[in-house]
Amino acid sequence: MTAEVEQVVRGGLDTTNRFAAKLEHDPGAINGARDGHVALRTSVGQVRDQAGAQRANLANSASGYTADRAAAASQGLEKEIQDLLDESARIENAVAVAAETLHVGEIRNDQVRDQIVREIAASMKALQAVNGIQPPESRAAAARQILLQLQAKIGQLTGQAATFSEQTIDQLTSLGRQLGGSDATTTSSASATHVPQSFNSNGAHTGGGGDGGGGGFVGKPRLPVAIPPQPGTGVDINLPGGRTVKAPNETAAKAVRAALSQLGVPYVWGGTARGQGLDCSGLTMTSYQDAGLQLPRTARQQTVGAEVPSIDQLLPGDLVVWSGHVAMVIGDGQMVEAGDPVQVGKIRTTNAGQQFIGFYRPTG
Amino acid sequence: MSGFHSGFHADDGAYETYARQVDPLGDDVRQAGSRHVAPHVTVGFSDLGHESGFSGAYGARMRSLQQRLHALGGGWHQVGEAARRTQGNFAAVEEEHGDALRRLR
Repeated sequence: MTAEVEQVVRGGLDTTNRFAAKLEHDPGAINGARDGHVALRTSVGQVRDQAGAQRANLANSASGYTADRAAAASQGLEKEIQDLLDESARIENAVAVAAETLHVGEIRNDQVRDQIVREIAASMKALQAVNGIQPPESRAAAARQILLQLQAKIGQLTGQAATFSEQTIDQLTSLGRQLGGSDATTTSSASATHVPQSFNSNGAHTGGGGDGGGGGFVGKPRLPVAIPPQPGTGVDINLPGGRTVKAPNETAAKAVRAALSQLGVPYVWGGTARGQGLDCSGLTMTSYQDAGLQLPRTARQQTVGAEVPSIDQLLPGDLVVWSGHVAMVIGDGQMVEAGDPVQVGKIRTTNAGQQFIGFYRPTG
Repeated sequence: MSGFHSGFHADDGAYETYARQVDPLGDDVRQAGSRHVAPHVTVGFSDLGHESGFSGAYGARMRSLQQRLHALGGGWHQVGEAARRTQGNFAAVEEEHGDALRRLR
């Protein structure tokens, strides 16, 4: 085999092999996740049934305003259970579709790879037959022709594989968008159902009455207010413009440095690949991750830690959160955000018609 | 405490019984989250799954589910506590009424 033939044969499978590696997934773990959802719905469904039965028992043994309040609290939580069961079914469905998409992608890629192998084998056979061609001077031209045809065929098949790969990633992107786009409206440490401290608090005789606890929220969490740092404390950060600012602690400082190290990285929807492609919450999440603090994935969920009450109290590492965007304060009146590309700009509270939610200090 | 006032009725110990019945629900919900959601928050959906954003969106959604289950468990704990306080309030009122009747005699 000449070096040229060797190169064609070796390179012929490069693309499909690369796609195969990118498609490699863990069916066991995926099935495990699906089974987990089935088991979750069984367990939590039983809780819902028990709760309904116990509510009915209470209704048989008590009536009036107090019993109504107890029933309302139970029904609110039963409804939340049902919402979670529906949510579990939606996630499981997305997982099933993703698994099928990956499986189909693998099959199509394997088919193309097998076809390339067959083409190479056929060409090798044809090249061997060339040795019998007379006169011998015409053999080189015939071999070259076979090689050119093989190259063309491999090019065509590789193009098919690329198309299949693109279709797979498009389908996964669409699935990811559906999962991210219909994200839950409430993520808090409290249930959305208001449970009073007692069900007969209006007629309460002793200190047990009152409706203080357990409230939920939609949209904006109730968090403690961030406490300003003591004078002389903080960790230095050197900003790109040459100024030095102080973060409230080492974690925030590391997060800011990690975010600034991504300046210029292109915006990729759903991207969490540092140095390659990031979306807004991907930038903040991975930067805090580098600093050792795990943030939730989406912008709306990154309302964590403590709330910073006003713009003049912002410190490096604080997050500026909108309904669908998030940026990180770096100090000196500036913030870093994953626009396209990741860039530094002045702190603002407006963002293309989105609702401004607030300022948050994840380390607060 | 039957006949506490007009339009109202509660068997003796009704709320205490209800509290005992509701108590395990919160833990059941939280345990279900720990057993069936937490181990599957990160799943190998391939490099393409990662690059497409699917893995990230899935992980975020699972974490959110986990948090909601945890919060829901807290909600059931609150219901149990509220039922127990309700029983306590009834008992205190009944005791006061008893004292008032004894003073009148």
